[in-house]
Order: sequence, then structure tokens, then C-alpha cells
Amino acid sequence: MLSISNLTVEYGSTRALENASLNFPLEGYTLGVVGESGSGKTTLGNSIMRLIRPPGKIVSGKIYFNDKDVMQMTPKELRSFRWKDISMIFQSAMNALNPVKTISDHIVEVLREHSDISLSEAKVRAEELLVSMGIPANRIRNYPHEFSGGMRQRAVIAMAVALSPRLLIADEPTSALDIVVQDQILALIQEEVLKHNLSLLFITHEISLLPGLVDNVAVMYAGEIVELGPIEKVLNDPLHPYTEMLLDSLLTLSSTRDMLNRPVQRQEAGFPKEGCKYTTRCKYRMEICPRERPILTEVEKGRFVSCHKY
Amino acid sequence: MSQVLGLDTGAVKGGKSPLLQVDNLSVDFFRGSIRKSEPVRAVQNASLKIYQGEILSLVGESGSGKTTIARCLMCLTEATSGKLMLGSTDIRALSGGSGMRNYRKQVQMIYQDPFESLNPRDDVFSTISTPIRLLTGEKHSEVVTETVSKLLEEVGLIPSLVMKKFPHQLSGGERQRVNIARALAPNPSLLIADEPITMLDASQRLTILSLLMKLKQDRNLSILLITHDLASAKLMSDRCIIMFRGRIVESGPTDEILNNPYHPYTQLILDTLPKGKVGSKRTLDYKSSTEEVKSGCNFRLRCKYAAQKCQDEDPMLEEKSASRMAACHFPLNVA
Repeated sequence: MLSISNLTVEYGSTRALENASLNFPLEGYTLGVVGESGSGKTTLGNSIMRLIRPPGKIVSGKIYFNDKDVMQMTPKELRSFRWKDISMIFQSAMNALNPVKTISDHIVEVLREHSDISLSEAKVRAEELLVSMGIPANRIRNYPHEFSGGMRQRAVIAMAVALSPRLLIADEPTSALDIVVQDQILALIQEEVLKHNLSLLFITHEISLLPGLVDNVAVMYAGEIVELGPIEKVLNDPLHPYTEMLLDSLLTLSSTRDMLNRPVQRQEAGFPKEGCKYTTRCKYRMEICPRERPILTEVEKGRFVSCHKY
Repeated sequence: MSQVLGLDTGAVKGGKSPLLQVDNLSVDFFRGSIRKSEPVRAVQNASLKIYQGEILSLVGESGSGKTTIARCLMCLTEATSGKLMLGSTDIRALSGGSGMRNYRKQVQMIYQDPFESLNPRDDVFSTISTPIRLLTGEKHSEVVTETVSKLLEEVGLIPSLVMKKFPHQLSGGERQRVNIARALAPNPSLLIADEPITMLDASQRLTILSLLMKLKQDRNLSILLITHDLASAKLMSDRCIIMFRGRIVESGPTDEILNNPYHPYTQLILDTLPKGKVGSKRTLDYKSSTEEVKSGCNFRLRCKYAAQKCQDEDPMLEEKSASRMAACHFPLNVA
């Protein structure tokens, strides 16, 4: 079990993540995290991996992996924790790969660094892995720049699953890819997750990618988790007004032009410092909302929401 | 090639002549040394028409040539061959001076990335007032200020709040609105919108699309909407063009194309669209290939219906039914 409690992260005076709590079983639990840019979703993923860099700082909160305290890990412990227990697929595959190393070398390095394996064994294993990710065997000695965006992302996925971690964190893994390639990469991630019964934390700003990929979803707004629950329930019957707005503005093939006739939203100024952060945009605003900040509470079994309506 | 590859929806448009007409546009890029390398054919024989007051969508993945077409229309990339006409102006013959200034007054572009298309050292006022001064020749500063305010109001920004702000002080949606206001400054008749919502958050996307639709209606503006997303093409445009690797593979009324695609590539991108509600697990049901195709149909390596004819003969964009065209030997769903 990975448990995060009351995690708060600040970048200088900006609070990127506020009081986030999550309990994450390490077998076959899949969670999608959606939110706009600046909602804190990437910060959440990075803090689990202890990847927050100055000026960012974890101000308070706890992260436990099974019974290990991630916040107290020494650099050496962190090295074995990353990739082996939890691994991450980054948004930009080009930046995650070293331009002067071949694709195969990347995998070999990960394998050799974190496990006791000979060079020749590692090479064989790397080839197996890459081929199973759909990269032709004759391309594995290529350099990252010789690969297309989709193939690079396949290589990064191969790296991420090389040491059979328990939890895979994917941070917008497809946002730089074409739609058709995006679909293939999602299918590949899903295949790996199902095959090894991994847990998956999938971070995205496109809620429409999640159905069929994850079982649960957390919606973030302004650094807070505002809704958490099983995906079918959240999509069909959203509890938080922000989730509702997000789903209403989703463009699908069944969208009609009436959608465009809604009044054009005006500009808005920052998040309120007190009370619920969604107050200024909320259509259900009540008298209590600007005064008191709601907390995430379980309103029915398995469904959490932070809103005064409930 | 003598046949007209354009989209002729004459029945709908009556006898009106198009605002913009592109015939057999081709653009080649050279990689490496010009002597040694083969050209990359970014756009091949593309033809299209846009009428006054309509939105035409151009749909395709990256590398399909849609942005190259837009850049040719903005005179930012030189066409290799073909004819581009705005009314009676030959766009390829423009060479700076008053002709170009006059053209820029009529055609403006909104770029994809609102974070990179605004000068970080210019505040909103100077961003929008510069094209007013340069293109319309307005010199009275009060008139310019008033025009800027009006434009900001029109795109849903509060002039007193944003006039003196710099791009880094604005959100993505706000920046895109500034971009739109800047494009509207010379009062153009054609707006080229290159993936205007791709970089924005979900809640901002609809707002920007609504704004574009409102501008089309209020100003009788023509818009060339470049997108990779069929859902927004459907929402915005009556006619649409699908491109694949530099070629137009299908064109016609948007609703008909989406309900009944002729080209297997159109079918493929329709299949990858998220269904919105909870669906079944994802499956891979198509071939993938990054190989370059030297002969025949350039989609054939990814096409599950590919046959010998597809390898031997390059399909031409032909009319397959009234007002609908496709470039495929074995089109789907044709009655």
C-alpha cells in the first residue's frame, strides 16, 4: 500500500498541492488524475517519487510505501525505491532519454544499476523488452533522435517496466503524440498493467482518455483533490460542480452546436484565498462557500467530494 | 492534372465565387544538401475553396501538411507549385510593399501556442495596436486606444484589466483571446486558426470555439480551422477536408463524412476518438507503420483493406458521390 496523507507542496509562496491524501493498493489499482494546468497533478506525481526540486518543497504531509517512510529515505534507499518499487513515464519522451546513448543502452543501464545482472544478460533482456513493446529488433541500437515520438514513448515504457515495479506513474504520456499513436500507447500501457497486475497512476488533462483505462479517478482543482471515486460513477453522475463543468465542456462527436451558444465566459482573477477555491466559478454557490473551505469527505461508499453541497 | 480537385459544393453555395481558392498546391522541403537529398513532399496537389462567412476545417495528424498550407496562405512558406487566389489577388505574386500590406489586412492567422506567439516584451495594448497602426494607417492615438478596447471587449476580456498586462501575467485562455484580438485588428475577411484550442485547458476550449463561432456570425468572417480533432471540426464547420501525409484524402460536408467515412484513414481516426462514456477495454485493431511509401497509395501500409491495386496505382481524389470526394481505390460506405 502506498499511502499519502495531508501532503502540501509549495513553490515559494505558491501552494501547488494542498492537503492531498490518497491510499493506493499496490495490486491492480488504477487511478486517473485529471485537472487543468496548474492544478497540482504533476506535483502530486513528482512528490511520490521525491522529485520535487528547489524552490519547490514538501512543506508537510507523509508518504509511506508499505511501511517505508519515503520522506526519510537516504539517497541510496531512494535509488532502489525509484524504478524498482515505483517507476515513472514522463510527458516528453525526448527529454527523458539521453541523446548520446542508444535505446538499448538505456534499458541495460536501468537493469544493471538496480539489479545484479551481467552485461550480456542485460543486453538480451533489453532486447526482449523492447521487442515486446513493439520496437523492431533491428532498431534497438538506434539513438533517440532516430525514433518517432511514438517509438520513443514505447522505449520509455520499456524502461519503466524493466524492473517490474509495483506502481507505474504516467505523467501525460501521450500529450505530445498524434491521436492514432496516442491510442496505441494507451493500449500498450494498459496491456502492461493488466499483464503484471500493476497499479497505475495516470496523470492527464484529458478526462476523455480515462474511461476503459482506469477504474478510479481523482479530479484536482487549484492544488486540491476535489473529487475521488470509481470512474463510471464520476463520469455519469459527477458530484463536484467543477467535475460537472469539466464533463459539460467535453467535446465529443455527439456534441451539438448548442454547446457554442452558452454565454462566453469572461476573464477571471485568481483563486480566492479563503473559502472554497471554486466559489467564483461555481453555479451552486451558497452563503457558506466563500467563508469556509470544504474538506474531502466520503459521501457515499467509495466516493469522496469536497463541496458544501453534500 | 486538368481535373478540378477542389471541393465543389455548388448546390449549397449557389453561383457565388469563393473568397479563397487554392488549386493544386504543392510544397517541397529539402533536407540535408539540396543536391543529394530527395525532397520531402509536405503538400501534394491540394485544392480547396473557402466562401465568405463559412468555416472550413482541415483535419489531419502532425506531418499531414495542414500547417504548411496555412503558412503558404500567410506567405510564410513559399509554394513549389500551384495557384493561390484571394478574390482576384494572386497570393504567390505578392512581394512586399502595398500589395502585401493590403493582403495582410484581409488574411490573418491565430497560432497554436499562445505561450510563444506573443512577444513577451510587449504589453497587450502594444500587441494589438501595432497591427492597427501599421495595416490600417490609423494615426490618432485616441482612435487606436478605442479600437483596442473594442476588440478586447469583443473577445471577452476586460480592457481596463488587461490593457497594460504582459503575456506572462495572463492565462493560456486569455493569451489566446489576445491573439484573436490581434488577428481581428485590421478587420480581416479570412482568419486562419491553426489548432487554436490544442494548448488550452478543457474548460477554456469551448469558450474559444464559441468565440470563433460568434465572430463568424457577427462579422461574416471566413475561418480556415486547422485541427486534429474531428469533434471540434464537427462542431464548427459545415465542410471539412481530411489530410494524410501531404494529401487530401477525403472532403465534403462534415456531418456526412463523420457519419459515413469513405476513406479508411478517416474511419481510423474516428475509431480512435474517445467515446466520452465508459467503454470497453482498448484494443489494437490496425497496422502501424512509419515507413515511407514510394509508390501507390501512401496510406496502404497502415490500411487493413490494402490490395495489389493500392501498391500499383496512386489513387486520385475523385468525386465518389454528390459533393463528396475521396482518394481511395476501395472507398468504404459508398452506396
